[in-house]
Amino acid sequence: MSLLLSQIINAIMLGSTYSLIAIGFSLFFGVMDIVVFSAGDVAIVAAFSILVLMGTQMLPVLDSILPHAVSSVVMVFVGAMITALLMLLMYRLVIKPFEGKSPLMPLLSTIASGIVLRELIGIFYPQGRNPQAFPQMLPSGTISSSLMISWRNVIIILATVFLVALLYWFVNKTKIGLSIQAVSQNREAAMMVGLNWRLSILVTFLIGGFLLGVSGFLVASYSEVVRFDMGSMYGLKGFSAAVVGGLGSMFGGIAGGMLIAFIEVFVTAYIPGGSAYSGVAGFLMVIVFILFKPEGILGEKTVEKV
Amino acid sequence: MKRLSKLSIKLLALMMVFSLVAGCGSQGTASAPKTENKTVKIAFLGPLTGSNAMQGVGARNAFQLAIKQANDSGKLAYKLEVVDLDDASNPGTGASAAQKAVADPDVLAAVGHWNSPVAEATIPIFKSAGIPLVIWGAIGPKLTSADNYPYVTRVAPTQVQENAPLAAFAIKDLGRKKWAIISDTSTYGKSNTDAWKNELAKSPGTEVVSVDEIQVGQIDFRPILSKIKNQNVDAIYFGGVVMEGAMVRRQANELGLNNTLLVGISGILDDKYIETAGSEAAEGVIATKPGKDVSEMAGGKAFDEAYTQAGYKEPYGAYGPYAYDAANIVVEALKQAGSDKKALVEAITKAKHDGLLGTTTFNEVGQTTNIASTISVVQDGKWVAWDASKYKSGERKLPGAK
Repeated sequence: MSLLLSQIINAIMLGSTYSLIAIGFSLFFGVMDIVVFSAGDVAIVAAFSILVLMGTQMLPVLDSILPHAVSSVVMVFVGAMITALLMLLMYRLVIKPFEGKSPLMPLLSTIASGIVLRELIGIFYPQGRNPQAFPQMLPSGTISSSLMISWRNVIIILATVFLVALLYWFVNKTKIGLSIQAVSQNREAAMMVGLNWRLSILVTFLIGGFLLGVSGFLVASYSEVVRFDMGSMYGLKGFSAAVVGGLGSMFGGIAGGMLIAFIEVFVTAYIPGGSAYSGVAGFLMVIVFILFKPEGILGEKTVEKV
Repeated sequence: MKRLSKLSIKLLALMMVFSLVAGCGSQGTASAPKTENKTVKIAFLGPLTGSNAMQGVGARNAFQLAIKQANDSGKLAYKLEVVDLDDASNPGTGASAAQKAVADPDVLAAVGHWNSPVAEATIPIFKSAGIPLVIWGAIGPKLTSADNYPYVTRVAPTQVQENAPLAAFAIKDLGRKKWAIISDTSTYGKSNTDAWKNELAKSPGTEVVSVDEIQVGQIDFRPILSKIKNQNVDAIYFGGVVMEGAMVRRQANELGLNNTLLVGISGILDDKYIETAGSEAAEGVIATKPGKDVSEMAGGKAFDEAYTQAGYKEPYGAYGPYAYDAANIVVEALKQAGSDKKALVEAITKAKHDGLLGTTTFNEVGQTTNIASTISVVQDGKWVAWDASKYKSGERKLPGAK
């Protein structure tokens, strides 16, 4: 029983990291109708940014004026802001030029820019192609040894819940959030009622980039090791989660992320010899979903426009 | 596209002419070693980038050191040159590196590889070119075989050879009976799993309660480790490489498996392992290293000093001495055989080399018969030979020791 419970916690934790990036995919898809395929690599850029920041004198300086927990949060915030700005830059350089053209073009340009980011880390970070130990910024003690719950698990899950709630509040309760929704539903109509759709898109990329940054931090804290090319698989899992949950839907991203994570964890845990096939099982499920429920768990049925 | 293919055909033709000329030349003077003042090249192949780069770069440095010493000795009638090629732990990259090596008519021998799948990809290339390959670090048992003999020889013990002393130590000396096995899905991991199961099957009273295969590049091992925790094993055997091995140890501790011993194959025996896992988590991890500790090797001290003096920044790692000995075996064979490839291949297989590792000779399939091994344990953030450790003296206790 306790084993089952701890496997469920493992799955929720893994699912949390998938959910965040899936929501990132959905945000961009919602307002722009494009898939930003570099999301996974952008997330790993945040992890490496934090790694670089930790190597500077910033943390000791912060620690001298703030409690350690607060200064750790500040570090993560700065790391996530870096990716938020990176995302804005990417919008300007590789997405905006293709506005109004075939959606295949930004798809390709974001895949390409993801590879550029990945290789730049590999080349310019000292020994960038080797795995790097990620500093333990989250407390490491265990809460319950028999259930195998550690503080890290709890913080990763709580951080995800907090971010999702914050995002939900922002999108549904603030003026700019509502205008983002309006733009994502119908850009022409939003323009006609005088909304600044350009600003809405910029804000979306800023928020999405920030979210990806935090997700990169969480995934790095979760595995405790980062490598320059981790983003490609992470991005693929996140995109699959977004599609399974329903691309464009926030809670769909969570549902999709959790579903993939549960399948991976339970195939590993309960099928003899299953650990080698956990990834296979997860992606197999994605294929089944695309075949039989292409709109995803929470996605709306797409009606072909005539 | 068309221009490209024309160009490559020309290149190919050029290469063929070169190899023909080289072949003719050596046939005429097979008996007398060629000793003109020319340059002879030896290729080094290994992972110089990628997640195993620390193994490859250390071995490359040791290899270069051996060649430099041979050149400086003044006993050679020709100048040796190292061609170092990156295989990036990737069979495709390795194969094109091997093509590059055999395409150069001055390359007479190759010393290569830390990853068995990469060696599998390059062996046919060296075989068809008739160039001897001395493997320094890849330990998949099938690499040295009657099929690949006499072109492929290996100075490192295979996994089977490597697992035997480790199993004897863990089972008899440490008394661990109930095992969980974690290995990766590569050839390396799979043959480790098989070898370990085999060793356990030979010792009555031991059992394997779980076998898990992980994917290289996987980052989450908690589901596997949660399961293992529930099975109350005496120890975990890890048959993979540094990155996954480090994550397994860290995540195991997080799940409260601090008191479960981790025993690993030489793939994790590297300073990078401790760095990545953190010295606290890595404390008490046991791994085997083929051969002895450098400080205990005949000539080990001189090697260590020469290495430091040569100014290499990266540590030579577990396999540096192997690459060093492999280089010296090739150099000695070159002295005897000259630049005739056939004679060179034969001279290598018949080598009896007193080097760092002791006396290396090759058996009927080109596998080294020298299988001395050292058990190491992580103590205060360093790999320490078991016999010199505080664990052996009883000052500290291993995880799960009764």
